[in-house]
Amino acid sequence: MRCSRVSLVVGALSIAPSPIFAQIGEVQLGAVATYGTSKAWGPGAGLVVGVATGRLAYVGLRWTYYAGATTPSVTDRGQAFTVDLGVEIPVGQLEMFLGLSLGAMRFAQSSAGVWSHKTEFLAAPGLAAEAHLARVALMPEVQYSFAGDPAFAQPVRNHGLVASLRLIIPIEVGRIRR
Amino acid sequence: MPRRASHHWCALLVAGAWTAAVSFGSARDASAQLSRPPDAGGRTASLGQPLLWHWQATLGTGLYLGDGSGDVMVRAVAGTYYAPLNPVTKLAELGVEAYVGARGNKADGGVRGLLQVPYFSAGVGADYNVRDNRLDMLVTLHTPVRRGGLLTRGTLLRLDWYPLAGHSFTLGVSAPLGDRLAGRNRPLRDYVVVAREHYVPVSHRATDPMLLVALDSLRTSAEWIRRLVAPFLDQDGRDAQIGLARTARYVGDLRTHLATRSADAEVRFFHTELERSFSLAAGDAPAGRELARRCREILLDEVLLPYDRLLGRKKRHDTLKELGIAARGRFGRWVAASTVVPAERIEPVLFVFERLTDILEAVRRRTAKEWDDPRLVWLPLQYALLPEDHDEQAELDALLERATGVPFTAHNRISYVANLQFHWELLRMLHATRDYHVLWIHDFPAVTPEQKLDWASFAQIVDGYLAALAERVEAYDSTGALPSFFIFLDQHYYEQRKSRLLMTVLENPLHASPRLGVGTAADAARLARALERLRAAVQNSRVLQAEAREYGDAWLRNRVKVHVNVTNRVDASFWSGGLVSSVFGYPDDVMRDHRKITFRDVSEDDPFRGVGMLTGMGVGQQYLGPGWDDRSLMLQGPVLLELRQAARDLLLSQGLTEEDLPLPLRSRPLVAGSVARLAARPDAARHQERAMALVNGTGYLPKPLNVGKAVLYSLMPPGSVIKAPDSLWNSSFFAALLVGACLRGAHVLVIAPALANAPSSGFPQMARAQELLTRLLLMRRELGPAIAAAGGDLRTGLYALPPDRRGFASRADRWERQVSTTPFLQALLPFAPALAPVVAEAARDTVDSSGATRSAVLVPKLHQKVQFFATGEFWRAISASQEWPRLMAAYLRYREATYSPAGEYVQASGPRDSLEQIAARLVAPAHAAPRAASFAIVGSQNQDYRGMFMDGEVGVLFTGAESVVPLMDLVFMVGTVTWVDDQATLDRLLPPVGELRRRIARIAKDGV
Repeated sequence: MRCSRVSLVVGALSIAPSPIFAQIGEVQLGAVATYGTSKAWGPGAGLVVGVATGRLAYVGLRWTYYAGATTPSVTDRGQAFTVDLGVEIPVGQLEMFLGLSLGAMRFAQSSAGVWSHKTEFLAAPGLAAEAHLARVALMPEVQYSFAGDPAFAQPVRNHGLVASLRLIIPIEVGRIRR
Repeated sequence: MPRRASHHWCALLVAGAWTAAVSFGSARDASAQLSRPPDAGGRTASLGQPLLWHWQATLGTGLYLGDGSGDVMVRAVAGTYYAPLNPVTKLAELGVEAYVGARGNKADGGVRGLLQVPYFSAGVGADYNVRDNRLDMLVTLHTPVRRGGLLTRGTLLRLDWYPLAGHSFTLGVSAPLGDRLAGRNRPLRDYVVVAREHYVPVSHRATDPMLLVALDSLRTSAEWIRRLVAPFLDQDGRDAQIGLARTARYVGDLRTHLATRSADAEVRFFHTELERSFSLAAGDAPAGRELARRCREILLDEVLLPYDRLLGRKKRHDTLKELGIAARGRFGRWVAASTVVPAERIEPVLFVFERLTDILEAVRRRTAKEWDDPRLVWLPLQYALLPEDHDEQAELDALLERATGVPFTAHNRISYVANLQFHWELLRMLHATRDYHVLWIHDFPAVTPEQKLDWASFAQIVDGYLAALAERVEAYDSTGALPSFFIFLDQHYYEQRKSRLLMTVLENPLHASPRLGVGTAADAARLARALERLRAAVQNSRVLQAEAREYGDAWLRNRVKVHVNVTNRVDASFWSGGLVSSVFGYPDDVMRDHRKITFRDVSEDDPFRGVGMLTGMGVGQQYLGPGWDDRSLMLQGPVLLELRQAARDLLLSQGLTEEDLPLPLRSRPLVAGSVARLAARPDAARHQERAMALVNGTGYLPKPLNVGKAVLYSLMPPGSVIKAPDSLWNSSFFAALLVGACLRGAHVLVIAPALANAPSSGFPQMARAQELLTRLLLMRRELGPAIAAAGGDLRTGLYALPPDRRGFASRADRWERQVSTTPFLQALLPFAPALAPVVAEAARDTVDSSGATRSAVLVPKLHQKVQFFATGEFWRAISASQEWPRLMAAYLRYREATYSPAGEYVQASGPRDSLEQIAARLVAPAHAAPRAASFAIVGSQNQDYRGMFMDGEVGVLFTGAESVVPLMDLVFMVGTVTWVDDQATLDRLLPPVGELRRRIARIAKDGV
């Protein structure tokens, strides 16, 4: 029931006609599918929300769950919680985002059936492109993630390339003038 | 008491004493009084120049965590700060500080060096602590918390943080030292309260379904009037094309509606529905008409005009509820007291009125949302006015007065002059000054952009101020009078153009050095001679020396000087729009005083004695010659008293008190019979103009100039001609009102500079202009039939003049060729064929080779902010006049005379006088036309949002024969600009910018 309500809201937002008021920015809601080359990352998925003020500067929040990698003796998982900062540059029909994600990576490792957790600082500069398709937009993105070393019993590579694809619903918003 | 607790108490006591000291110091500054007249030993107060080094003291307390002790720190800090760049930009400030205090139970002290970025209210530095013999990194943050200062004016909350010393910190209050204006030079409120707390009465009720239907129709009509009076044309989108497509969609809706009901018919329909509603409520058609009439009067007085008066101002509690309730009370009182409505019908009648105020509130809300800015809400006055209520001069004059709150003054003499004359007239004015002189200007450069001495400014110093002072001092023993000279100069260009070099000389001519640091040895010698002459005159004046013996040398220095007032100074305590104060806010320092006025000697005793000038330019060589196409107004008469009042308001807004005000600028009641003095003047017959001075205060102060323009744009009747050239045509709001005027049948000519001819050609301004003109082209294309059906026209022109290779003849030649090949100009200017031979003759004239050479490299820059308005009846009456060829001939003679490539002096008053006389004859037939009305506005305001919202601006709105002289100028201009009929022409002369720049331009506009 709850899921269908959310679907209705998302559906309504995505088909709503664009307002003809003076717009200045874009709120972006969406989901992200991602893959990190380091084994603590691996395939993952998450949610993003942000605002592109003036369609020039992007500030957003992102949560990503990484399925990591599993070997017979060790299982690695990860969750990233980041604030995304970016500069939006229109290039032809695309919007390019030069950005930096700052936040925390919560590493988890199961070794011999025992789970260990460690939260480390995370910084991930990256480049994304936004392509609009009807009322939604697709954003392929490449980042290089740097995280603190969780210093687990089984070493984990704490940096690496991360590729992701965001599916977002952009909602135009007016200026917030008090 | 435990040791730690005692430290806390000590810290609080010291902080309390500090607060008291700060309060006391400020109160003492504010109470300074200088009320004796200068000739009785008093001194004239002025703002002076900003300090180069700012001093500040801070008292703070915090914790030292570097060694884990958690000792309480109490520190008294004193420091001085210097801005190496233009301080108005708030980009950088260097500071050194020393501090003493206690940490734990031991004394503490140290020194610091700081680099601050005032725009971010933050800085970093190195802190050397003497006790620890240790150098630490320091991060400092400060914010006033509230406008004007935390505790008292100018005080800031300050946090000093040592990230490498265990995150030790102190939190304290800092106060400026030796700056009595800190925290006092801006309004404490950055908004105006629309609705205060008010009683909410019980709603009226009505159940008649016919009445409800009529009111629904009224609501729909009100919405269409809103869209037709100021159609929204600033739609945005992900890119320019999407924004334009949205505008097209909006315009499409308008076009569909206009096919069934014109703009004029919509207004009449609204009022018909209003009468019908009241008739249904009152049960009687005559009563309905009377109720509607009274309703319109009350709505205009109590709701529409009070709200529209706030155009361009930030609003708080932005709702019409309180105004509506006031109107309801007045209407209810009248209904109850009159016999128009039987008692049993009063409730539905009051219901209609209440619903109408609700409709207006809905209109306000929707407009604010559509324009995304409550400052741009203009409630169409058509809700309370029938078309026949604003089609005569007297009606429009009265509405302008009521809307702006500024009265027209009669018996003014106004002369419209070319820009070159401002320089010479200012010089003349300085020498003619007997009581006082005010120069209120935004630019008085000491150096050119190439860092050379600006010869025009230097001439004003040497040949103007110093020479005039010397003359008056030389005559002092016989006249006993010494005039006071005042300069009001905004800090931004003062810093950028190094005006301090010149102002320092003017502030202290008895001791200043002639070596400016720029200019040649000959310049220094010239300045030295001027100073020597003045000093010798002072030395030789027996009376002055006798007075100086009694009143002291400081009095003498105050008496013989120019009172320099650098205004809108950088102040860290005024921010707006932030989350909390300066956090993500914008400083008031970005708001500038753009007014350019000079006047002398006018007083309530004799309003006709003085003379003034209003101009669109500054002092300086860049404003001279044909490269700067600008105009000025020379003014005599009571309108100057309004400008003097504005000067007084400026000083008060900058931190002076009433007691500080210089005597010549103090307010006095108009002396009885002073207007009768006019009859005795030889030029009495020339004092015929009605004029009002509309002065926008800087920043968050009232903006009556916006209101005056909006009244004219939205109320000029069908058939009117409106010409609006401007160098920064960026305001979609003003453009929307002009499109609305076209839809009612007005002929509107909007003229903006091409990229090459723009005096301010940064991409944000040009991108906004390009976008706006593109929308106007769309409007013209899509709404053309509707506009034509109403009898109107919408034209956009680009001032795209090449360098004048043959001097002024080039422009005459251009006019002749263009007018003859442009059908719409021939229709608009039926007298044009008669002008062609006159212009052709001017086009054949040659100029001397040196002048031609100089002007051949100067691309003319459009800077005129002159607008002309005429009703159709006025236009038709003057169009038929036989005087046009003579007027054009006189105009061309005047333009040629003032077209001096080198900026040299020319005697141009002869042609100007004849211009005025012919204009008077040309206007004569219009006096007999019943609905003939005309206005001209000359001033400093650009057609952009900065001019509407932020900057101090001035405009003189005038009627009468002289309003035709600017028309002549515009008639000539419209024949030389390039009329844009297609996007390709627009894009060629004013190229669109890339999407990134377009977005930056839009956000820059929204940041205003």
